[in-house]
Amino acid sequence: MNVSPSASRALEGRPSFHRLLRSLGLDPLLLALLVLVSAAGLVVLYTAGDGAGSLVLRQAVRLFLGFGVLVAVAQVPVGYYRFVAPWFYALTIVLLVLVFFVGERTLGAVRWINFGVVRVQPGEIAQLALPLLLVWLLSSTPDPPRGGRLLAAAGLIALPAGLIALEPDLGTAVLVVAIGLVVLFLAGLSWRWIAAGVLGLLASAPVAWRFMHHYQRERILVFLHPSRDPLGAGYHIIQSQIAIGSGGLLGGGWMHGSQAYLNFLPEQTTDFIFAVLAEEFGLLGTLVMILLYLAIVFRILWLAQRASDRFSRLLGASIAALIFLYAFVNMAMVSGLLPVVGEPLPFVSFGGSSIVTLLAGCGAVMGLDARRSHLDHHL
Amino acid sequence: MSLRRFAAHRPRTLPEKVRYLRRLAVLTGGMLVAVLILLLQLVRLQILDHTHYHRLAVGNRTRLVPILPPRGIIYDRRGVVLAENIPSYALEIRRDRARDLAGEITGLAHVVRIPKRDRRRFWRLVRVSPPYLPVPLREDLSTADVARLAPHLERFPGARIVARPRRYYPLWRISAHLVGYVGPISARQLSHDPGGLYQADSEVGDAGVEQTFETLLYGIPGYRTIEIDAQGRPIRTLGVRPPTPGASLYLTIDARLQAVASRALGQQAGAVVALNPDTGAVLAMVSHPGYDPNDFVDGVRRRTYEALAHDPFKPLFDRAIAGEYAPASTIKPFISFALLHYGILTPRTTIYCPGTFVIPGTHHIFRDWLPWGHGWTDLKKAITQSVDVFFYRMTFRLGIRRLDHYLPLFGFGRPTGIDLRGERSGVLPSPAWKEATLHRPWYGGDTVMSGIGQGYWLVTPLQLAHATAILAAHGRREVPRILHAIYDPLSGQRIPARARALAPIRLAHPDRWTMIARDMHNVVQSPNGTAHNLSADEPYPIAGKTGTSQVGKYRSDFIHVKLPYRERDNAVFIAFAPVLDPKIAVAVIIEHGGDGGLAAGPIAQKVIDAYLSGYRLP
Repeated sequence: MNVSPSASRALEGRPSFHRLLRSLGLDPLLLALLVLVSAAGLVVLYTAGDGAGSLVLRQAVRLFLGFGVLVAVAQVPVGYYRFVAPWFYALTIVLLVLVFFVGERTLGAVRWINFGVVRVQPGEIAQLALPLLLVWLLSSTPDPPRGGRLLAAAGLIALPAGLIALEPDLGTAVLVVAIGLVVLFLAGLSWRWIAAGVLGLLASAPVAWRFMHHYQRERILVFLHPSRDPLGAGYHIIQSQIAIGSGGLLGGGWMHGSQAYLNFLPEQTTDFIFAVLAEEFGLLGTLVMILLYLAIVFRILWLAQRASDRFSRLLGASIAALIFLYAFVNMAMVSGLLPVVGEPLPFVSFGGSSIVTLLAGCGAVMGLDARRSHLDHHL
Repeated sequence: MSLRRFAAHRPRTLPEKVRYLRRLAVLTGGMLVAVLILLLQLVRLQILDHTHYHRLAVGNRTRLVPILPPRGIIYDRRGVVLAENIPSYALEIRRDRARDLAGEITGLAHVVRIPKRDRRRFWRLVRVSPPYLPVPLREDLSTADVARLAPHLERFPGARIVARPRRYYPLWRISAHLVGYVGPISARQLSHDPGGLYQADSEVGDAGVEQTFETLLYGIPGYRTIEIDAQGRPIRTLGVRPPTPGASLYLTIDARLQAVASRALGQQAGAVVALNPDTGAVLAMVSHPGYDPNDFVDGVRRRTYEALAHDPFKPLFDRAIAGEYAPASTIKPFISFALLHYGILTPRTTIYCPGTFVIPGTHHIFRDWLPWGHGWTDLKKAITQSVDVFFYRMTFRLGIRRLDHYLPLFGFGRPTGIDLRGERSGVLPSPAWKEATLHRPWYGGDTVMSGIGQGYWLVTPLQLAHATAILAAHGRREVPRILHAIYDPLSGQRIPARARALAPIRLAHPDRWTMIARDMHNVVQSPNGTAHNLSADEPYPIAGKTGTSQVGKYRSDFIHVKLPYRERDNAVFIAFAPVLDPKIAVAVIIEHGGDGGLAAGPIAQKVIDAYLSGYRLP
């Protein structure tokens, strides 16, 4: 292990567990925050799943697996990412294509591939593969992306996003585009391009509207007027706002969320689990949750900015942005600020793909940080 | 630790890192703004609008399940049950337990017969009632049905047998019109239920006392507050508010007398009304033919209803309060009071009565029922022998205006105001009425015919009994009533119903009440009286007056010919007894019964006999 001498010095006098984590290339603070959020998630999941322990157990197994992946990824040297990035991206594209042929159809959309032992959502993997490839592409030079490189980046973003949108899974597609744009932004995309992009987006909105599926348009309309269809498309958002609102300042208490317990709240173990938290623990609970996410994001950003190379810095910040995007989009959607897009709450929602993907990302950040050069450490 | 020093060392990387840090700062700023917006939204939902959402959440999960109140019992004045609730077994379906609703219904139909009517009702109720309420599938199961069902219930998780109260009328047809019946509430009634007292499977009073006193009998439903889940399945009971049972009613009628009157009427179509002249209490009120009110509970079968509705004798029609008949000669005692009041005659006025009367200056002949006439006649003889010519001439002299002015005092031409729905007002003939109804002018002949209760006269049996009671009570005018007392099951108090009275009729010579009563006694007592057939040696004197109203064209009654049923005269009889201290006043009308004295008289006598012999007993 290439633990820097200064790091070794810093470890002296610390507890042995701390030293063990350090020797594994793990960041104790980030790890602690991740464990905290995951544990809180399990507590909420227990009520959301009607007090059924089996759900919590399955989620715990997934988390365990996820943290294993995290530790494994943390051991990977930086050069390896540079090598694997294109292949990982290519594999993701293959999976995204494959999903149309062997994918499982649920509610009119194909998003899952069943490999027998695990069910994988390629869209979730793309959210890690795309920034990795973009960072690889854009970090080869310190210059801001422009010209052919920018064009290539745009193409690399559009390919998986387009495939995901065809599944159809507009929410994930938008997130993939968003994370791609964040990478471009961090790489120094000129403000002129950014302004042009924003204007172009506004101009193309009516066109996009025409190409949307009926249910997608309905979701946006319902987002604007939930009472348009209170028992249909508007039901989710109305019930989730009732759950959040009835939580008040301190909440009804653990296992006392009637909306969730009596199943008025839809998707309460997955996409809408934040509403369960809000109902049972009130504004205080949601505040703590938001602060935990912010702490995770800022810790990753801190680790990223002190990295020695452009690749690590960009990758780290991208992963921070990814976690933030996930968490914010989910909470905003559940509380009625964004249309219902069906994205899980990171580390909390029931479901494996997102947990493993994001924990792997966190592992990469820790690994990169542990292997930064001595010089940069003193910066 | 100076950036500038590094810039000197590594001029190519430094701008990149600075740019990166700047971008990171912008990104971080963006994130913080986004989180701030999210926090504001959460504060809005959880703090500012908390009360609103909390109320929505409570409304989401709680429902009120009504507990229907037990309906009040109906008794007669002595406590004989006229309408009660008997336990009955019903098969009901709890939809939250049933796995396959249609399958269970089909399966249950193999075990116990479920008529198509019940199935239709079941599916209608399934549509309109919320999922946490059980829905009755089949009511009134026999014990054999219950025994057959019991071992199979395990196969049908949604089905259960419950004991529900069912309305029962032990007197069957004897009290049919009076007590009425309850039936399933109609969609229209349910939509006009502002208090929300009724459920889709409630029963509601549809006729008679059951309908008139519905609000008293029904009570106030209680409710259970239950918690339900999103699928509407009941989870647990949060609280119970018991129902207020309906009040029990004591009616003024005497069930025994009611039975006597009914038996006396026998197979004939008609009505009997007996009143207590002192109080206005209805002692008996029967309309024939009747029907069995028990057929209507839980909904009448189509075939039964069609049969009743198309019966030419109209069994559903309550003749006692809604049947309108010509009073014929029974009107004569009341007209006598008008004649005396306006001084048209005195008790000593005597005129010669040939067999006919002709209005001066015309050629139209009005005939007496006795072709050769009655000779010299005073008021006493005119009433005893029902002398038509006497009343023709006197009423013509009185004039229709004064007749119309005086006879409403006895309650003619307007509803008596009895506490029952569906009372008709009859017709007191008047020029204004004729102009309005028939658009024809009034003729002198119309006045003449009015003098013997024919022409345009129409009265209900109740009106006739009421007028008789006023006469018997020497002008006291008690409004007829059916409600004797209300028993409030909560306080255990028995509240007597209030009697209502109109201002009494005051005569210049009060002795004339007794005079006319004696004249009416003569109708029964005198060998020449038209109801002499009733004059057996009674322990009490009866005052009566016969009436025989022509249904077909005018002809003499004296020549007796067997006519087709529809053309036979209606028999009318009024009576009260004892003459000098009347305890009961009766009116009887027999449709197409023929002679009033022969057909209707004995029925009135039987009722009076039964009442007064019972009256004398302790």
